[in-house]
Amino acid sequence: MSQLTRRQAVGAVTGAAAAVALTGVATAWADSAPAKGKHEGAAPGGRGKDESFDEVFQGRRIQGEPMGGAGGHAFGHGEHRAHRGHGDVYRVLIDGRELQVMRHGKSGWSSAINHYERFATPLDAARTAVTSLKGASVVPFDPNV
Amino acid sequence: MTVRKNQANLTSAEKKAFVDAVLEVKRIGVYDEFVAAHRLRFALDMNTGVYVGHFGPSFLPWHRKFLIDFENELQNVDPSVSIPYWDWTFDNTVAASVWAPDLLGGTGRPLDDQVMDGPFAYSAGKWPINIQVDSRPFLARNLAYRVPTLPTRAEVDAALAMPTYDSAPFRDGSAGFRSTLEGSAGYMSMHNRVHTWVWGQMESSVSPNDPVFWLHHAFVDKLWADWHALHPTSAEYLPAGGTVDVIDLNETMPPWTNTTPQSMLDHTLFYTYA
Repeated sequence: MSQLTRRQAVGAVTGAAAAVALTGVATAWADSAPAKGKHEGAAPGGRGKDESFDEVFQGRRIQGEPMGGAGGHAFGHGEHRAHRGHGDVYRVLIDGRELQVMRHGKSGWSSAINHYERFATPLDAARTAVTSLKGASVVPFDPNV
Repeated sequence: MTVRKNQANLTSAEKKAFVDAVLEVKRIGVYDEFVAAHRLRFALDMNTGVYVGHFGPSFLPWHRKFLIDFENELQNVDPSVSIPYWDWTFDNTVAASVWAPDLLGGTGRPLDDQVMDGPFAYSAGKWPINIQVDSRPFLARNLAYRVPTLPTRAEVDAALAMPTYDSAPFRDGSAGFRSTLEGSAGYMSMHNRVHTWVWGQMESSVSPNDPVFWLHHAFVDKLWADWHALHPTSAEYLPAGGTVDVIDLNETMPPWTNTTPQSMLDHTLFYTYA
């Protein structure tokens, strides 16, 4: 694999800023848990995409909270500014382990586990990831591995 | 010259040579570099706002180069080997030969989606999943679980009939051949739908963990070649220049330092399709 090694890929991407931004996001997500219980008991399905959630789904605890953009308030790291042009940054945990989710413009959300689908909300992405895992744990993204 | 063949037409000896080369590239640690590179590219595509490997026009040339690099690694092991392609419009059931034990093995068991037969089954001892998005160390599939059917020939033909390669804003859902073939113009369609149909690692950002990734993308790549043959007067790639956050025709595609879409347009410099 002459050219396509991971470290070169990190450095070559779109300037070092992109790699730094990605590392910053991963670090920010690892540093703090989302506020707990803010919306417990809320009915599923009707939430806006910028709302937090915290529920047990098929025996797994799933939590989500916006980190930046218009709805952001709880984290204050400022890393969301690295996400140029795509707006929402959202943090999802499954049993306390971070599942990377991403917004694709108007077409919806996806996650590292269900990468080729689009979901209306991060909650939908989290629930589908639970069904995909069949009991396995999330392995959080580490840009250095 | 390398000739890529339909997997359905491979001889037993050709299947064995391909499988053995893939297993050797895995054994020496190089295979997982490709998995990690794909995961990183996907994360950057998703998070930096610059679409290189996915969701933009360079989806096709980026994967063409990615497959060429992988094929070169296979040929370092066995110069006779090439990447077969899987025509999922025709070999579109779980009974297709691509899923037989002498090629890729079949679907996973219900308990945990673990693939239990073929050379890539965990129990065979040669295919640990090291670059992960979840803790399962084994290859997982659940064929036809999430979506019951694969894209049809009619859908492929409709995409091939589009005379325009790609169009502004050159992203998810843009009109044209590229976005339609990638599947970003419709929910679980085309290239994306095939990933989802296979399930397991193929549905995730570490999809090259499943060797079917290469056979799938070889067919997607062949369709790009077919499209160009059908539209010889259409621009082979767009945009031609000056587009922010999009790889233009003569811009470099990271992580490579010397690869542009232009340099990938003529696949016959590298291989042909049989």
